[in-house]
Amino acid sequence: MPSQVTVSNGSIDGSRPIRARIFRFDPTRDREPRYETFELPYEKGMRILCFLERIREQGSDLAFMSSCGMAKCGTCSVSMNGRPVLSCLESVEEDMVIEPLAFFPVIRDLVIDRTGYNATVTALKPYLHRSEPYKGYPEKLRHHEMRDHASLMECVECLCCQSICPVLDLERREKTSSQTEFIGPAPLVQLAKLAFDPRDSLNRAALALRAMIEKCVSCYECVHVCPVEVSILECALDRMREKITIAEPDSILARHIAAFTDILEDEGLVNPTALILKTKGLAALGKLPLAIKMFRRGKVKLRKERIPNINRIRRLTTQWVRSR
Amino acid sequence: MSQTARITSTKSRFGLQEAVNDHLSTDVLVVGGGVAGMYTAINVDRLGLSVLLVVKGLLGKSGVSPQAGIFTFPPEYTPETFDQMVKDRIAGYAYFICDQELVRKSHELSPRALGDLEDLGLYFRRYDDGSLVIASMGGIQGGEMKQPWGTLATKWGNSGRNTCSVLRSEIVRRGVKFIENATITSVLVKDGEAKGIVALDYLNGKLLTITAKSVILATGPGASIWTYYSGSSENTGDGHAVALRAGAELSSMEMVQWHMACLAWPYSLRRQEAYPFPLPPSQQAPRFFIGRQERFMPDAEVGSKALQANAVAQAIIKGAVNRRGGYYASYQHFSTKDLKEFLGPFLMLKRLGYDLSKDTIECAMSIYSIYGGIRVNTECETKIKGLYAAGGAAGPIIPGLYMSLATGIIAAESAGNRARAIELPDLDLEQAEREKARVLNLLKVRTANESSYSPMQIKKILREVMWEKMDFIKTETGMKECLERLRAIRLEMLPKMRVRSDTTRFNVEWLDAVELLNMFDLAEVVIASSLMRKESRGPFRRADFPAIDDKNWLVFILARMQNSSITLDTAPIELKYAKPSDRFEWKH
Amino acid sequence: MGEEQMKYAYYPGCSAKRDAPELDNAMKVVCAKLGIELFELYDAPCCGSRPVRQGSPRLFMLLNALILGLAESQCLDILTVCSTCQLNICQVNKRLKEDDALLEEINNSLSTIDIKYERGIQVKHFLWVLIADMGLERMSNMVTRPLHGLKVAPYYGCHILRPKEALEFDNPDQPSSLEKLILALGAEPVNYNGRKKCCGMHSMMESEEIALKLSGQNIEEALHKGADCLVTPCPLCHMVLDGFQGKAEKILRSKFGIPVLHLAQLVGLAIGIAPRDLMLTRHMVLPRGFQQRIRLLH
Repeated sequence: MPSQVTVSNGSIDGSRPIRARIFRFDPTRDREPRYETFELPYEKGMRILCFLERIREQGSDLAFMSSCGMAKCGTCSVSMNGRPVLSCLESVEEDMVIEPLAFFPVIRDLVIDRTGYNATVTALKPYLHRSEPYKGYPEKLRHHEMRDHASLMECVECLCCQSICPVLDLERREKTSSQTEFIGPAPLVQLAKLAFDPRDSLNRAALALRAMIEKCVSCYECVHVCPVEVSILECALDRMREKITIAEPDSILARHIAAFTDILEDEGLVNPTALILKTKGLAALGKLPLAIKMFRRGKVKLRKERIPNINRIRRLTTQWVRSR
Repeated sequence: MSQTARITSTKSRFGLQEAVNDHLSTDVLVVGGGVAGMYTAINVDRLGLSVLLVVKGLLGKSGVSPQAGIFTFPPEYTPETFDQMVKDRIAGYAYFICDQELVRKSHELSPRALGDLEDLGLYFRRYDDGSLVIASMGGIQGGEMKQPWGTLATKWGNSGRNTCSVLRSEIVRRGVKFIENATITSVLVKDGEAKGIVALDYLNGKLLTITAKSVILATGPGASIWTYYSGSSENTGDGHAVALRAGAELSSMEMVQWHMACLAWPYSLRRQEAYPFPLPPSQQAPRFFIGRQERFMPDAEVGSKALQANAVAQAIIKGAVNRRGGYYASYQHFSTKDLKEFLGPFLMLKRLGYDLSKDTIECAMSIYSIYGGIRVNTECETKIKGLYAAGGAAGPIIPGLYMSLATGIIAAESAGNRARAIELPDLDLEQAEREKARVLNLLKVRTANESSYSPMQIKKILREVMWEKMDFIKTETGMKECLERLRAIRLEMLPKMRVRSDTTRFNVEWLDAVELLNMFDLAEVVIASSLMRKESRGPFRRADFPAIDDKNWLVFILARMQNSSITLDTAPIELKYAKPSDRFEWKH
Repeated sequence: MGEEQMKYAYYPGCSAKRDAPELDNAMKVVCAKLGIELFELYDAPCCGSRPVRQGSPRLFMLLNALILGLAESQCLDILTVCSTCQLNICQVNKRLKEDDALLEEINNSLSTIDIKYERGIQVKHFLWVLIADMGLERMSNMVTRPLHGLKVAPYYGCHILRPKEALEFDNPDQPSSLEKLILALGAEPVNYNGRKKCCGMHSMMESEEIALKLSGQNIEEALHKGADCLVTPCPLCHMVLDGFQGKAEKILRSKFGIPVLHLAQLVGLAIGIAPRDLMLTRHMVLPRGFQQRIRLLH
């Protein structure tokens, strides 16, 4: 039966008009960007897209992109009060600053250029490479083997995650070109989607390493902003890291994971000193000066220290560790 | 809040070398970057011909295709059940206003198209035991059909988007050339043959002429000439309008289909359906209520769109609801687990604050699609040589992914055959220059003292007039008023149309202006055709002629443009596979 | 929780037991004074951090289910002192509570080591215990050495805020729990953007430079806003911010010299525990100026 529903993101009582300062910039005509202020009455459930469309209906020449208007095409991403959002899905706030999605080249006003992003995805070969020729429709597939792939099909490539990633932010600000070393979460989701398709035969783990997946800091910022709730970190990047442990065991990433698990199995808790030594071997000696300082403050434990009942842990690890 | 230094975009066109004098040529030109356009382009490329794809928005993201929910698919079918399904589609969806041969042919091509998509990597949802997940799709009698046929999907509500993603990857993989942010303004026809097009590259503020042996219009069903529509905002029927102006026929443009259950609010989400179809695995559909108790269309809940629209129409007539709202969808009888797993818009509804285990969703109507379109034969050819139509732009058909895919095969073959047989035509350069001048002329900048309207302001008025007067249940008076009003707007407001900026960089107003003129032509045809059809049939309803009239109106209504005015004609419908006697008792 | 006894199963995690012994020590000393009883889970294993989660997802579930089972056998909620531990155990707990089939599977495996988890407990970070269970009023009442004039920059980091669905305590966009606590201790919270940004610890092994720069820019910002010190609820963040502060200085060509306190240490100072009993000298960065400041407050 009809029941009261409130707007889930943003508590708007609608008594005040909605005010927005919107980024305006035409690179062919303006020396620098400016902000234009608009004010409109609130409409029930108002999304940012409603607001932008109303502005145009009143005669403004504000340029913004949108197409489906229902969170499927991923075209309408903008930055609202510093947060990357889909304008069709996000509620307005009473005071807004609306800007183009951060860190993408601006075409005009709120319209960004995706060609750089598209090129990075293309380099990851985002199409199925079949290991065997297609046998005909419908092919033998079971959902439990396609589950991970299916969950990543939700991604609409809106680029909100690319915009918020702190590693990309860091690299962009350092380099003069717009290309970064770390490829970023969105292309990795596309890569992972294919990696988890059992029909795919490409060594996607190697591609992920080339894309510098190890630079991901697991901060969950991408997860937090994803408008369609793709579990980017856990379902894409972490599962790719799992693949790397199997397909690329000599990579630092794989050695790190193996070392961590071995120490856990051996001692129950993980000693960072042992971890560095085990992962990096002689290369760890580069950290010696710092290690000595830390040793003096009692932060470096050299002896093994096992937790009580370690056998209990070992019974679990022997069953469930992958890369054995 | 300041922005860090930005690199401004120097994007021009992806995958192309700079054209000389902005002139390009290709064997086959495909206009439209949705499923029909992309699949056609891929098939042409497979023939070894040169193909160029012109997309108004972004490839694989623009158009109505990303919004498509499901594939219509017969489960294991015998020749008998296939025949039955085709009958049901013709009777229950198109209400006999369709090219029956084309409908049948399109369904025959489904397994091939679905196999092609699966080969490219598209995942049709399975169960853990490997069987395909299929939702039943009750037919004309809403579940009383003895042989319900099914829908399959990647996820119910998401199939279009996933299909676009796979096709886009294939386009890129094959290196098929495409131009984004460019819209067709005219088809250049000479001596009854299409020679090419003029297009506005609004990203760079350039007018392009493109010569082609074959031109395929895959521009979508043109539904956004009403205030509340689904499909993309880009869907302004450009293909219909340019075809009309080039001398082609449009057919059955009065056959407009409505969504009966979209979100009543907010404004921009009226596109989103409260997905009124059976969902796997329970095969139940959402229930619809008026007020608190009255479940007002239990049969139609699992029926076709037209059946549902019919039920809502009855409720509107009774005064119980209006098309702006007042009726509610309930998912309370579903498990949250099933909804999360299979219902595409689940997340969107959650973000709006709905708890589907407790809340009901207020619904309202919006335009789904125009079933009519650019008239084609079973080879997707129009009457103009070298001009083809595919997908929702073609008509009269029952739109859907199956149809976009099927015409993507048919049109590619037809256009390809022609391209192999002829030389690249010579464009009439004068004709092209005149067209360019026409489009350039739309870019008049407003001055301080004159009263003027932006193209979008006029667009909005056009949409509102259509919404008010070309309602779901039409009257002759209303339609005539609509026509007059639109003509008046054209006369009075168009001359005062001004843009704020004549920038060459992503000029949205210029795009609006081009689209607006197309929308006027399209609207006029829709209204004129509606006035002509003096009956009610399926989704086409008139208060002054409430009954179906097969005796007089089992015909196609054809529209042509001659000397800038619309003339109408009729043509008989060949009842090759289904006849009205195949239809059960009509429930009006 | 009113005046009733606050008792928890204490899960220190790897950092507190290995490279951040000052944290373990501070917790014991501070909780004793606050009247919070800690029952340490001595035989609980590592929560798996990120590496086990990535390399062996099933083992990850089992380790955390084991930790939960061990606490449940004492009928106590878990108290954590590390953000990553908090996220991991809390997230597994939530999944087990929502998925009956998963719980059964996990318990089947755990039965080989005579453990069963019946979903009866919660997992709380020390910060949450102070704010929600103890309450800020009661906390303020226990302050005997208010940290007047001390400008403290709260450093949340990531895993105590995101993902919101798993943690459900603070607002990741506008977190406030640390600020509230800092105020209750008489100090002045510093507002800066870096407070909810990543320290980079989990990529330290593979890309140290990224971690140093991410942390360095957060420290820089805090300093710029006038902070006397940072406080963090996570010893992994602490390791980078404090342990590698010198290296961050080098890579950013800057000078920081700002101390980073564990949450328990900041609380300890305010409730009158002597600085030496909080093992501040174990830190890599402890400028004399700060030491004097602290002595003055005491």
